[in-house]
Amino acid sequence: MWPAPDVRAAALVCVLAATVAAQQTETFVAPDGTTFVLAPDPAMPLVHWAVATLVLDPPRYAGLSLATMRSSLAGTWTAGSVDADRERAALDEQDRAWRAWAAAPGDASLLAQLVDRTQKAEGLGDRAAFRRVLAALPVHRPEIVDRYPASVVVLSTVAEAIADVGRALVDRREHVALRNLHVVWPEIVVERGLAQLGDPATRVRAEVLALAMPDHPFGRMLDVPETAMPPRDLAFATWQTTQRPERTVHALVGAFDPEAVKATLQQTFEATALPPSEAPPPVVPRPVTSLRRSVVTGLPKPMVAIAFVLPPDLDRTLLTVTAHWLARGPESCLGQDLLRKGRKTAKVRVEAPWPPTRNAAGMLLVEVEDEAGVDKLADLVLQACRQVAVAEPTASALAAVIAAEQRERTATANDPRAIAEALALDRLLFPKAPVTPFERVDPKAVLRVATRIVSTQPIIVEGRP
Amino acid sequence: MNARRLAGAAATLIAASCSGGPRPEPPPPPVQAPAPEPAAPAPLAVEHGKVTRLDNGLTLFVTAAPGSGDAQVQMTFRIGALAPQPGLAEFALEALCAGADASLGRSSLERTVADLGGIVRTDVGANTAWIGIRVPAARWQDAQAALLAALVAPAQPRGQLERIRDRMIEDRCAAVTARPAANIVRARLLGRPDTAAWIAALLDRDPSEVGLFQSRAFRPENAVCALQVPGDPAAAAAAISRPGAGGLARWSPPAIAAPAEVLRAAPVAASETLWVPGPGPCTASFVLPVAEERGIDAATTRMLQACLTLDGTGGRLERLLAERGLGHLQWSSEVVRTADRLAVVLTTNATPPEAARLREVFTIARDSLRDVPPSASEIALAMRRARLTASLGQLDELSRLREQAMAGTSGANVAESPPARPGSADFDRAVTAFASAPSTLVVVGGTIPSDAKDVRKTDLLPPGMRIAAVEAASPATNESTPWLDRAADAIGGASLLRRFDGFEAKGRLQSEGAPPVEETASWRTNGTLRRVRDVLGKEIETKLLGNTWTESLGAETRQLSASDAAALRREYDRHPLALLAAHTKNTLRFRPVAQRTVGDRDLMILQAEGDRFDRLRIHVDAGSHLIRVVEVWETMADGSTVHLQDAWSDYRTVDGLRVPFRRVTTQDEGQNRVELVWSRWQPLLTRPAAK
Repeated sequence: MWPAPDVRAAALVCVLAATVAAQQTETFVAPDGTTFVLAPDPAMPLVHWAVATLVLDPPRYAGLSLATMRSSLAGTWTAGSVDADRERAALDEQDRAWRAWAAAPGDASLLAQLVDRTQKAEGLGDRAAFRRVLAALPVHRPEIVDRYPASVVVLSTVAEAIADVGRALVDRREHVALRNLHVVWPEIVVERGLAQLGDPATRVRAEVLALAMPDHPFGRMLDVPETAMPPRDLAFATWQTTQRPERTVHALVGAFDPEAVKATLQQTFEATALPPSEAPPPVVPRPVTSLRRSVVTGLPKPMVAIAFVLPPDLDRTLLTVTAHWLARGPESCLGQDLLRKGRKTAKVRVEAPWPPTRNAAGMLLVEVEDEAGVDKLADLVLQACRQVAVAEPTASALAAVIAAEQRERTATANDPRAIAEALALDRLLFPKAPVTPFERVDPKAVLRVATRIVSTQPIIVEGRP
Repeated sequence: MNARRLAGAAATLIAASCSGGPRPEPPPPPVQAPAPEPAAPAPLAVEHGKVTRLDNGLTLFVTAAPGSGDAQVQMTFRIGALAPQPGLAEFALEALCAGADASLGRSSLERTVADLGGIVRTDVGANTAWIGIRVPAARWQDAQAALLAALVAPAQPRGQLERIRDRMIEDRCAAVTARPAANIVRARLLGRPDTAAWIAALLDRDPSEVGLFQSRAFRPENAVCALQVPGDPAAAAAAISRPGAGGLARWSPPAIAAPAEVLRAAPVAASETLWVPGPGPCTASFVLPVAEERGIDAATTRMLQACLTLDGTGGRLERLLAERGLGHLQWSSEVVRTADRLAVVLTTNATPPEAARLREVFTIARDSLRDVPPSASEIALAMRRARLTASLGQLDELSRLREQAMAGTSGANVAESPPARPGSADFDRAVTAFASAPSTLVVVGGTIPSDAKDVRKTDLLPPGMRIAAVEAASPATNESTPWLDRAADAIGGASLLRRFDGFEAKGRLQSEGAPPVEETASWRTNGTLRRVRDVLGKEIETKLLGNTWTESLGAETRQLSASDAAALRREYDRHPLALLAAHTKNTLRFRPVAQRTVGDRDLMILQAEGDRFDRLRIHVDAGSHLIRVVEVWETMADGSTVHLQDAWSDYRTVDGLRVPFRRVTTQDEGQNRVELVWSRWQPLLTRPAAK
């Protein structure tokens, strides 16, 4: 299921930072440019492997990176093809049949041709072959996880199979066939559509982004999904761009000899034939200098969203703790203040940085939902944020926030697959961002960060019925 | 956004992707020379803990915490779901963790551990009940103290127990609704026939039963405490053992005269297809119990399971499914576990008739391993898989410590045996047991076919409980029409706009770093365009006429591609008058996005529906109702897609229509700024309709 609009970036940032800080790891770069993070633990019976790559969707086809990731498990030209040349040609014919039918969807003969081409292509490829290969290595539960702005392959295996799994992953990267893209893409479209329908805050968030960063690719994620089938050549181009080794991080956690595994991986990840390409730089919000305020109508539950552009280069732990103290849940400063002012039905949540992004540039997004209505609510929230940023958090308040964030880390650290995922994502998304251990978070620093954030001009969006 | 339209589009796409065509057969297992005798796999790394028995009867298992920074404190009681009163072990365990005493200032175990920055997990198996606590390493003694406080706490008041039970039922119902197949499997691992019975067991429990159960079952002599702590395990064990130290050695409940609990016999599971009918798609799940023991029978069973299927792919099962026309089904696997049992669940989406046939195919595939023993190559593949399968019970850290503690304190054999060879008595015994074990298929959704065999219809929830429908957010109910009507009125009125047929104009194009360009254009709403641009004395003429698209410079003419022509047409189609005219003619619809205030301007943002444009939005000034901005995503000649924004200004009245005489186009974040200022702009109108 597509979780993209609900990624809790703050939790991700905190969990990543804290989990990574607690692991003893070794990092190296293979000859082809792939980064590896090894976290050996001799007590673990299995090896858990995560491969993180960026989401780099073409603007019209938001979700295509994820679609190619899911389709990659349907095999390669070497694993799953009856005859690679014939299958490639058949899939290209199928693609042309899609274009023709999309241009004239009422034409029954074009539809019949599409069905015929699809059947022909499906007869030349075995979608289960790659999974069969993996299962035999052995690999347990290979899955694609959506962690926008990244996607992650996660799997579990045994130490003896690391070399074979590595070769399978290289084969996937270099020779992916995308043979079931025509099935995966509609699934993603429907998932996204249903997720948007199920989350009324999507439209409010889309408007916040339109006001602050109209060209941010996450805006396309919040928009109505494109139903037209993406062309195969565009899908391959997207795959090749997302899978470039210099933008890929593998993390292995478990019982293995790190030196032996390093030697094996350096031998396996030797070179790539993917064409060189540059990733677009992350979109950075510009400071808001004038009033930007919107009303979005038609929401079932009234809500207000207020976003502040974050200062650059904030420490991730500090940002997470500050956001949590300021506005996460009923125990936060904002939650308590609204309660004192009679807004008993207000529910407060916060995300920072938002939207989910590389290098933590973005905004602090506060959302308050209140079935009693949003009249004057935005001003109340703004006032509360600014009043809060006057006195530093008390020791007990800070301890409660840190305990809550540590709980999330502890829950993640219980699951070695989640640790592998966190290590890979951290390295990919925040290669240089500083991290303060929780124990050293200083209340004065929290106040300084809070003040810097809430003293800027916000973006305000009200969602009304 | 119309969900029905989306679903319809997707259904069309998926239906067109017909899966009825012939598929390649899965390859047969590779034929190889007979494999050598399978060697015993390397023994699993087993953490050797310090085992101590305290004076109060509690068994301690202490190991060193790894470098991840966390410690664990676990308690396993030797009683579980097979306790005489179904559901009572779970209720009592939850009461232990969630119970608090405000009068004594004692928070619940869950709350106390949360305040330490840790988590509490509980689980009940058929024969065990387990609490697992994970905290930052430095807080393990606080966690131990919190656990002790919960164990020695006095009986909880009825009201509190009722709340705890009600919360458990609510959580259980939510879990069953969210993941029905996994929870049905879980209920069966606990000896319940289905989730309805599993939840009903809780409903049947009275809070008065909890205190007595806890006093009988949750006793140190009936428990194993596993700790993973920083430092030397022996020193930690010694510290805990001292009664005066405040640790678990102080746990000494009073002796009881009541007889020990007599466990119910584990119900014999039937071979059946369990079906929860319902609307929507149908999922079917095979349940593959995993033998976690280390002896030869368990090793052989794991090997046979891997010969049957490798995580839902390969093996005898896939071949047989392909032979029976079910090879197109794709399987996903997940592990479902209780405190003392484990199962791999393979799930697929299928039609009801397909689902009705699956268990028969499964049984035949499984029986084939008895009738045709695995080949050497099948065994080689299975052996690689079986080692992984044996470790599935230790996928997370809490489970790993639990398993090691139970093995370490029970004296169980931790050395892994190789599986039996086909033809041996051990193999015959194991495969006979494997083939005759009950097989369960769980189907959720769809209608049970009338000819389906051995199907037991069941419900997810007990009678009288319903699953609440989830209400989706409704799309915007406010129409955009009033705003467009106002915009149309501001431009000159709907009746005039309906007659709008194009324009002729002359203007000057300017962009930084480039010479100015004089332009004359004649455009019609049917897409006909003639445009002449004078660049440094050279004239470039562009013509779009029907299906003829050309660009000429002097005597040289080149054909424009279809995409170039379409892009040009879209440039003119997004002129404010063209957009409003299309709205008045009902050929273009808009939906509201937001009402915005930017600086001192109030704007209404509307987005065009349909696929004529890629996310075209108009910004209508809330005061003047003029269109100030048109933004859109466009694909350029080089294939790149950019965000274009046209800012329209300098509105003047021409022939009754208010017309913008200035357009500034920017790309992405204000790049490539191009200004077009018209010196003449003449709308073309069709004749008014005869009255």
